[in-house]
Amino acid sequence: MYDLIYTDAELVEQGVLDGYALTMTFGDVDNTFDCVFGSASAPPLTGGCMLYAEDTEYGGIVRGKSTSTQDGTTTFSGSTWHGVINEHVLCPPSGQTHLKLRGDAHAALRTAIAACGLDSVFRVASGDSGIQVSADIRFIPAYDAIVAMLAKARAKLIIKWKRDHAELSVVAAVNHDSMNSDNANFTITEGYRPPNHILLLGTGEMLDRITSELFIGEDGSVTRTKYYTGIDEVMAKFEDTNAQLEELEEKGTEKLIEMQDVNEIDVSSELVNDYDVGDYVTATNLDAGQSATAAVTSKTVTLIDGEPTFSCEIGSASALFELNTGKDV
Amino acid sequence: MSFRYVSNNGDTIEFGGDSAFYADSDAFRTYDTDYTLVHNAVARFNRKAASHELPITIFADTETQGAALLDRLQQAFDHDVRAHKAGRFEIDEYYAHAYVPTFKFACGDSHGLYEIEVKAKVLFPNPVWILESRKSFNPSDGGDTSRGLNYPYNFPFNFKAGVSIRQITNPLSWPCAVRIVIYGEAHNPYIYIGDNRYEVDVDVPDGGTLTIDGLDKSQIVLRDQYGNATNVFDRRISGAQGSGTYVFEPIPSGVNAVTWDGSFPFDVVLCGERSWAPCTT
Repeated sequence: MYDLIYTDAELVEQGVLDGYALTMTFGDVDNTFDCVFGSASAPPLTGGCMLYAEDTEYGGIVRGKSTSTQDGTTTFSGSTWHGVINEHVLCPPSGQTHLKLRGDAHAALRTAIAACGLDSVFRVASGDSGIQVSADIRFIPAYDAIVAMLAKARAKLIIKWKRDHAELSVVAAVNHDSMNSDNANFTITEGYRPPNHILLLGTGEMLDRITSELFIGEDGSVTRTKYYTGIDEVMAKFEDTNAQLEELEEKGTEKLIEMQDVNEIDVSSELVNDYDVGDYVTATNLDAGQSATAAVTSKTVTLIDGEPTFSCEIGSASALFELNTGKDV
Repeated sequence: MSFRYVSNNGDTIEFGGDSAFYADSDAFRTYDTDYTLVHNAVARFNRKAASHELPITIFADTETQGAALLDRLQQAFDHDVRAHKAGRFEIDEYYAHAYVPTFKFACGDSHGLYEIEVKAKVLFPNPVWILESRKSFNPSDGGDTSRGLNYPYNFPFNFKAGVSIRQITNPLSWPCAVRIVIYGEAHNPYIYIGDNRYEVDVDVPDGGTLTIDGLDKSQIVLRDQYGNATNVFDRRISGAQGSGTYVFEPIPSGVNAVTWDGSFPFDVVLCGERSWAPCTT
């Protein structure tokens, strides 16, 4: 049970909401919410008002309102905390090609949040996270960039609303392996043959174009030697028209690793309450003898008068891919 | 046994006794809690809105009186629906908030306007029955009062001028909501019930009140001596449920110590929720 608190446009807390249905999604695709009231009992929310449950990541800022004469409802829509961060694009500092984030994840996060100008509302937890990160970022929405940076370090972003600010911290991603067909309903989709040969196309034109290729070896690691051939060989292409060879192969390696993540788990369960975007989930269908592991890419929370239900999109992390598209924007 | 409807139009309709209105409260003595199953294990219980049909009979000496009584009943129900503000059905000491959106004059069962049958459909948006029990705490009452450094327990106000200790008992075997009314004059008043600290950092003036209501979390109301109300929700101390500083923390089952600095009086109203109103003889 959560209290969904709302503020006025000056961010003064007004009370706990009642008689609503809130749907909030955050992750790699959508970072928005809709909060539906009966029009007769809708609170006086306007643009800039906040909704949140204290000590959770469930909250955001009202960005719009719609009313329906058909069902007599008023819907306030907005950006989750994740969406607010993602409304800012991380740009290279003046005179540099990339915003380079190196070192402890908390320090990197502070740099990113400061670059967004959000440090009055989003504050990084004090001290170090103990997790080292490295990312070169160029014109990427900030939340997507942060999630991708942390995914490379097998870490995740934690957001908790603390009275007057959102506290950000980084912790190691968790592999949740307790989900099975005795305690949850889910659908496992397992991929048997993800791409194992990637063609890399970098800067330059025609014969001057920088190219390379990488492979997946017998043990699943990235190698320069082809292992899979014939009908077992599955090729993919990765293009970064700005990249020199070293950078191209670095990004190509990341891309090829990411492409191995082809498993998907479709689940709506009480168990996913504790799952965060960036975690990994191993689900086992005991009856069918099938098991799969995939990353949590998106989470949806529905609050109806404080009572939560959760669902997750698990599989095919795409945030990392966004970091690597490398288009010159 | 008493059974009545309290409308927000100021009217109270008594059903039974000497009243011209009769209805049987047993019509409400049923509940059906929804649930979610995962592989034959209950994942959760979901309390959803409930509706019950309530037959009502009106007895009148004249048809003119019958028409007036029928009109009075209809207005009591209709007012609350139009105002979008739930009325209260009360069974003995228990109450539940409800609307009566359907009101059917059963012509076939009526004897002119001398004996009128009405079928009302009652909607309970949150179908719980609440029993409130109030206990007042005054600095001058009995109980343990400790002063200064001699205080034997490790409460965080050891070095203040003094502390008063009382008890309150939640007789249910589950937690219940609480309403706290603090009477001024009080400066940044706080109260411990069990392990939870209820605190709002405001000055309650002499003759004023501060009300923290776990059944209505939409605001925390500070009233001055003239009755002017201000919402001071943003002045509560922070904390989610179970944190030890949650201002609406339900009261645990059983005996709970109530401690405060003894500088102001207050009431604690336990709001015990049941799925139905218990039968009485």
